[in-house]
Amino acid sequence: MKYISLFIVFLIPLVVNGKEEIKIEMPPLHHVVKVKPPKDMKLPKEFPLNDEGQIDCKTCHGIKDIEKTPVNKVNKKADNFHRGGPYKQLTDFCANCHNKKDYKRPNIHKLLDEKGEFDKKDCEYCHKEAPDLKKEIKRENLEFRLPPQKICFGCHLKTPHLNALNHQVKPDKKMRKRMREAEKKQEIILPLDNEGKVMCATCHAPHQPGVIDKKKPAGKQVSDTDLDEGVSYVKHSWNRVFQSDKKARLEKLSQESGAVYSLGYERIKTEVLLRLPAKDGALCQACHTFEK
Amino acid sequence: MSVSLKWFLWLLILIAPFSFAKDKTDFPVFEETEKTISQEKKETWWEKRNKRPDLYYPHNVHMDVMEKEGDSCLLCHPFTANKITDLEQLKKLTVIANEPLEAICHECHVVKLTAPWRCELCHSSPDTIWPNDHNFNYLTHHGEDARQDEGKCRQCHIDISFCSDCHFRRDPIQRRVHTLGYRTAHGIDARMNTASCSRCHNAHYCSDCHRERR
Repeated sequence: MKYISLFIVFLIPLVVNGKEEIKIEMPPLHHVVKVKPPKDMKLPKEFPLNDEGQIDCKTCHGIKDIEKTPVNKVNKKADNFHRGGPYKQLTDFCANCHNKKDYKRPNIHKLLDEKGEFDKKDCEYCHKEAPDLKKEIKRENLEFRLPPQKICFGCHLKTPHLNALNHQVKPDKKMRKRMREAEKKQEIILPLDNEGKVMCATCHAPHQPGVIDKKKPAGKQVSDTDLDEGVSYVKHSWNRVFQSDKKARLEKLSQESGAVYSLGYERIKTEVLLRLPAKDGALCQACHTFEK
Repeated sequence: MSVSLKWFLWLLILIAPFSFAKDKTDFPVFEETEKTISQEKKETWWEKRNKRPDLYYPHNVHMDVMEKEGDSCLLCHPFTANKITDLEQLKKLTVIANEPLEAICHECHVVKLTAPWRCELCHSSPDTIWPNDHNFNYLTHHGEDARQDEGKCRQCHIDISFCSDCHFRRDPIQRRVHTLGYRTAHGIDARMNTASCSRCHNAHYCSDCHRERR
């Protein structure tokens, strides 16, 4: 009798647990499931809802029995991991159901309205208080929400373009002297951060042309086009040469890292929000020079 | 002169160099840390490249050409948009993007010949670009390679005179290939392998004499 009772106490729960379904936990920051999509949202036909009309695993993932597969065993590189994939960007997948325009962040550099006037509230994206443009502004008096070298990183990457990272360093004495000379000659400013390092605003003018008086060094900038078009490029025959120069090295890097990298060349057509034009090298030459 | 005044003057002479040694700069804010940072700074790829004795790239010489063509520094050092967040990978990619190699340089200097094309202009010593197979015996069988890919030869031997100086040379005093008296026996070789003659001699070379005798 003793043994029978021991069997009941210890073994039966083990047998029962063994048959219990494995509970699959979703990864963090996952889209919400078991909810009905809003009525005005149109899902593509290939994105099936569950029997209760809710968003479920199968709605977005094309992998068989994904709801029964542990997260670490799911092949996330499979084309159909995201239905209709592969996608270049995750947001391209989201755009199957969501309207990209609704989620687009406002361009905070666009400070002026159609009449050429601006709302001081827009200044407070970056500044603690909107500076009075009628008075002479000193840099020491400008209060930023974050240190100026970090303020762009809320919306932009620290490395939004190639060569951004290796420019965020402290220029040597010779270069600083050259920068001061360029500032005087070109009547611009090339501000450094509090530690004397190059930051985004050293080359980029963050304010829409016209916000700061164009006659002032802080207001002088390149404005080939409006902020809606922004920087634009044109295809150029040099791309063929450039790509052939990089091909072998890119293939090697791709093999080493497992990611696919590509590089190409396009010539700049229009530029905005730059203190000097980069397309003719004037901006580069404000700091760099080459001895004969 | 009293002894104390003498000592004072000596002291002044000793101190003088130190009082003028400090470099007065317009940028006092960053001066203190300048030395430490430059000492700690690792050598970048372009600094290493500038020190390479085998390769010469004068940036300033290219400025005027690029301005004329409507190009800029971005032609070789692109600032294209980036979405890579892995800094290690990005650094490697940036080096690749920034560092032009043979294909870029040779496009103007060798392929299009729109730039000066003397090898020694950039490559200070021929040893650094000398192909491994160009050894002591290569002169005798270079023709096989040339027939297979003449373009490969032209990468270095851009001027056609490099070939024609030998292949079209008719120098009766300094005979380069044929032994003395070969003229009498050349007909046998010509019948056996005419193509062998035509590597150096064109049709007129034969007909100039043979026509006269008819």
